[in-house]
Amino acid sequence: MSHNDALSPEDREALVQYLDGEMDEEQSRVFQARLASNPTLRREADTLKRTWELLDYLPRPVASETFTSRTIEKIETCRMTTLRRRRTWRWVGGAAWAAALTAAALLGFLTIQPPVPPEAFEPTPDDIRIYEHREYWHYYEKVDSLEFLKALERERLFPEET
Amino acid sequence: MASTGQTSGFYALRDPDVRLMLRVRADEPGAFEELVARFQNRLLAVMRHLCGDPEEAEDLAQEVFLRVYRSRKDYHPQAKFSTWLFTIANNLASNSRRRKLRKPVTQLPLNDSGPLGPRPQENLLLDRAPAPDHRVNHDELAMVVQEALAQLNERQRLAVILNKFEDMSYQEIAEIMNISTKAVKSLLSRARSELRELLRGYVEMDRCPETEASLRVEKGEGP
Repeated sequence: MSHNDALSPEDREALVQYLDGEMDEEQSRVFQARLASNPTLRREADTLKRTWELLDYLPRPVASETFTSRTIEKIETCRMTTLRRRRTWRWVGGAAWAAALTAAALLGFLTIQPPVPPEAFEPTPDDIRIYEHREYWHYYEKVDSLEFLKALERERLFPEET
Repeated sequence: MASTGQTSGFYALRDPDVRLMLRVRADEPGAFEELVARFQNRLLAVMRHLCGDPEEAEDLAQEVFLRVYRSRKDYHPQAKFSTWLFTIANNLASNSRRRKLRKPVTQLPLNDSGPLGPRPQENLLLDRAPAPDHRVNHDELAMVVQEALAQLNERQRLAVILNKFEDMSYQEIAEIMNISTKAVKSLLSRARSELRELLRGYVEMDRCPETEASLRVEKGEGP
């Protein structure tokens, strides 16, 4: 049975708290009295203290000379990327807004605008006349020009209806 | 909010690092470079002990500074600047650890160097073992202590590093790790007991004069 077995977890926590300087004045005074009267606690305190001192052997890494400049460079790169991304998004956002507005305007126009009725066919007197001369329709089929037939009509070249 | 303003003012007056960060927030030229230069070694040390890999530690340290820069405009001093900085560092290290867990990499056990056999330093590796039968030099001891620290769990390791090297109080460590001060006390107590067991042989042995001397030189205490 080692000497540590005599210490409870609470004792050890209190000891570490004492060694770390985390006790107030009154607690420290009381604990020092316990230390003075308890050789096991004293031995444990000494071992823990020496163990803690061994941590001084740990290597202390030192940043390379370029660490600061590389860090600043990295930050600058990130800043530029963010800026570019923000600009792109702004542009995309603007374009999206413009497209949405155009679409909305078009939709609104189509919704509000009444449908245009097909223009009613109103035959001119000439048309009526040509219509009336059914026997000459086959001329129209041959010449394929209403203007020409109208000219014939103007010249009274169509024979009078019999 | 008056109380926040008062807190900010309090920390700004007391902590020079907070004042520097406020200059960074105001985009004062050169302030951020000064901040990086001031904290790079401390941050690197913490990251190195947390993740073990030097390259990853450097990447993570850079990422921490990047986060600091990005959130500079939202910075309102509520505590010491280093508490804020190491909270970011802890969060990033935890995220990185989680990512690694999702993509596990097969690692050799600490005392297994593969077909070539153990490295010379590994012969020193602790097995909650007996005291070394020879005097160890500074580098060997450094390796042994490093391996011992690596055997603590992540939370214990962080608490130890912050307490030992950043000289942080239980309260500050609790804030960084987002746990209670009571939990910090318990973590540190268990970590110290664990280290005591792992390094038992080395605590008990007499230190060799060369090792003592080199340690004094390293601490800047002179020969």
